[in-house]
Amino acid sequence: MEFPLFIGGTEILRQPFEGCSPFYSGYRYVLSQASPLDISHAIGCARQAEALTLSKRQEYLYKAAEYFTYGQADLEHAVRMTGMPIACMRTLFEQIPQIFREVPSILSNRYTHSGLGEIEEFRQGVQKIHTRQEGFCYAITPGSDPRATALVAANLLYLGIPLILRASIKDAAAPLVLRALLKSGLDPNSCSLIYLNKDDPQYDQKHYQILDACSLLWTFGPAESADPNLRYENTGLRAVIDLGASETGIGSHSLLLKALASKTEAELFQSVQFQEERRDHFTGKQVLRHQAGNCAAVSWGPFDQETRQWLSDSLSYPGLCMATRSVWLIDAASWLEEAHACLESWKVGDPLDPETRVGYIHPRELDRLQNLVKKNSLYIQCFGGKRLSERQSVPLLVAAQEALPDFFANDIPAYIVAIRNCDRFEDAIQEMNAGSCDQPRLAVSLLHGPKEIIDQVIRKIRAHTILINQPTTRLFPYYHEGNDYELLLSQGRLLIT
Amino acid sequence: MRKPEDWPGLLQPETAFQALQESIIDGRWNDYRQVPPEAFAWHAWDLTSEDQIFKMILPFLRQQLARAQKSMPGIYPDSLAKLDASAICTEEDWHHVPLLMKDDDPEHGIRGFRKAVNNQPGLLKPQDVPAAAAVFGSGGSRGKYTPTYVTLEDRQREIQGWRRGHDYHGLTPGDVALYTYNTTHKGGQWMQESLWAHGVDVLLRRPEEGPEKILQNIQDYGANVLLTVQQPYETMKNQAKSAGANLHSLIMASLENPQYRGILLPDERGRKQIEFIFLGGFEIVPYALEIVNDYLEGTPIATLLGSSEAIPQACSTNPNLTPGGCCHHNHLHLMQGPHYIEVVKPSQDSWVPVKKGEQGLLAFTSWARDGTIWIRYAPGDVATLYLEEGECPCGLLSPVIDKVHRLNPVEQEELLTTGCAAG
Repeated sequence: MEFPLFIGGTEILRQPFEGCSPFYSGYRYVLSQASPLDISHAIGCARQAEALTLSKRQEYLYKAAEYFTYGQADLEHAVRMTGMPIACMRTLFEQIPQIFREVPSILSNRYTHSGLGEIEEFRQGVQKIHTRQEGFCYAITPGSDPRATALVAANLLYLGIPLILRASIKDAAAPLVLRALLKSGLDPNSCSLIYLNKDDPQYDQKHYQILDACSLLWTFGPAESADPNLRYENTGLRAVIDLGASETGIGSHSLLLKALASKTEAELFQSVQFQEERRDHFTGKQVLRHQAGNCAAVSWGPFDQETRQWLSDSLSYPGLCMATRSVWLIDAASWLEEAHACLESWKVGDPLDPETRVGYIHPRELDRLQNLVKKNSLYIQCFGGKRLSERQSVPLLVAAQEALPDFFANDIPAYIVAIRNCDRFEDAIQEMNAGSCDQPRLAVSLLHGPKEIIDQVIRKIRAHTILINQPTTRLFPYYHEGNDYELLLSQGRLLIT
Repeated sequence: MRKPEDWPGLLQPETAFQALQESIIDGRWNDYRQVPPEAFAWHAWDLTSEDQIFKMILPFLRQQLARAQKSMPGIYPDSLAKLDASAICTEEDWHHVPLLMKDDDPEHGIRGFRKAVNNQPGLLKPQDVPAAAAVFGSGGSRGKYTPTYVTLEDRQREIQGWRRGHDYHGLTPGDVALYTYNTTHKGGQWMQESLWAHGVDVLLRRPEEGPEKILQNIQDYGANVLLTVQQPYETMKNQAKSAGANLHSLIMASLENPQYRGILLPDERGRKQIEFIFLGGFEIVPYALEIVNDYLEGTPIATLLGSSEAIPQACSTNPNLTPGGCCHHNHLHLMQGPHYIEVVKPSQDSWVPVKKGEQGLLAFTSWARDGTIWIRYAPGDVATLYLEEGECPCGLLSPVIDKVHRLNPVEQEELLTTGCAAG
């Protein structure tokens, strides 16, 4: 398969480099690598993208939904690159047109639009006008979820923000999404797609070239994993002499010389520290982050057929951020055994087999999971989880005596669910919130909970989304973190008349 | 800019050239200083056979040989000691004049002058130089540069010689040229002066001006000719000189800033202000050809080969003027006058011209030079004879060379990063 660049509506095959599957040895494909001038071209296109009316933008997105197509080869490629079972992958591909249709529909219902921007009514005579910022967006898609490109493109293009997409080399859907958008009649300058080769010595410089030109950046993944690669550029080493606390407040050159002279050579040598100087390329940019999921659930009562289906949907494929990682159980007598039996019944095999339910996971993640299990072995009971190969394990059910952070506050992209019994919903909420880390959980599912209890406690749950009797995977991607892009990407001005 | 239909007009030898030839051959003129500098702008040099050229300049070759023996004793004593300049009467005699090299060539028994000149650069200044001289260094190879001493008259001769290149590139009085070259280089200075002498308005690039400002200047001043450089893509990362103004950076700025479309890059109607691009350096590198092809939609490009030691040496023509020619891009017509340019190979005890398809050393003799006298100086560049004289369909008679490069790859790399080609 070949993956060209898309710039200014033209598919460009240039500077080919090879990608390979982490799961299927020998599987190779060819991508085009953007040169610095290709990037300049994409930047120029974004800067001269046509400003369309809202109705036109909606029209093109609806058309893109109709034009989006994919073939078996595209599906299989996506499976080979992610390890996701093909049945699950097909479901995600099928959701892409839905994204194109629903994003404009929902946003147009939610906000009142005018020629000035989006209007928020305070009261008669007092309105807030939200006007979109200038510039274009640089979006970096992860490749683990084929819907990511559509999600980003639909939201930004609806808002009239041109974008340069840097797709992961694993992203099978990106070129398909671009073709659909271009076919819809959208100004080709408004959406470009490029790839960068991590082995290219100029990889970092090319990334900074786009980053420095954009006004908005959209990344996937938590800051601690994304920022070191995307944000900071080491610009050199600086030697710093620590003169100690007693010398703080040296305000003049002569005092500085005096302080230096008071030290011996050995003392000066010992007090030298080397600091890396870094340039923060995010300065001045608005950064949208699609954070990790860390989704959780609370389940009341026994494990019935509905629970079985709910569990199956909740775990889905662990590479997706909406997959449930941990479940708190209340009054759930036989839940553990039934859940284990449910997981055991899933077919483990080649993801390309339509019957396979449990696909491949990156060996690094499986190794990490094994280490976590070992580390917490005194506090957990494990069911399943047998390692079948370097890239596949049987799903693991972990029953924990405590709300161990490694399992209840951690996004492990593997087939694992951690469960814990609680007496009260409030206790479960408290533990769940404690494990939500810096960011609220993406989604929490409440299954079979008594309505009156839920109504009382729901506002205390630290999550972007709460689903009632629905699995967390039902969270549609454009609702990620509340989907307030409209407001996040606009500047508000009060208009008093 | 010259139109293609005007090209044949350039192919008429100037009548004054014939008079010059006669004056020399019948012995009335035997001092190179009698040749007026503006004579080197005549196209007749490139429309005259090599035999005729040699006969014409023979008195001056002898003159300079004799001068070199006497006035540059630190450079030439061993190699030229046995030669009697007055005994050189034929091309075959000339082929026995030894080559001068910067570095030792034990295989051919040649001792280089680098070590001596590193200690005493003044050895390259003739003791009888008739006027004040400026010093221009060769481009940054292997440590210290070696100087070429040049007087104002020498400058005039070379500037006029370069004007032939401007003609073959299609430049005419009234054109406006912006160049990004480093004006502390001889090439940068001569470029300015030769354009000026040619009747072309000249815009300099100030060192602090980046690509966007350059494009703005092109627009503001209505420039239709751009003279710049382009290094190989891999070399650009190691740029040691310049503020990064090259064709790549200008295209980049044009792509990123739509307001600059229509200057270098065509606008939506296909119009562009720049009609011709001169790319200096050893060669028009493949990356340059690639980006011109991909982004500039047919803007003609050409080059002229020269160095701090000798300008001009060879040049390609504007492809739009010579569509049937074989002298485009890196296929260069030799340009005789004010230097004698040869491509030679060793043959027993002599250095003889290469045959078609053969590679040889580029050697030049500065027969019309007050300053540093180069006698068959081979700085280490090689070229291949691509076409014999008269074979190029463009109508210029002089032979065509290609694949010009520095034989030593380390020196080639250095020249690309710190030489003229670095801008």
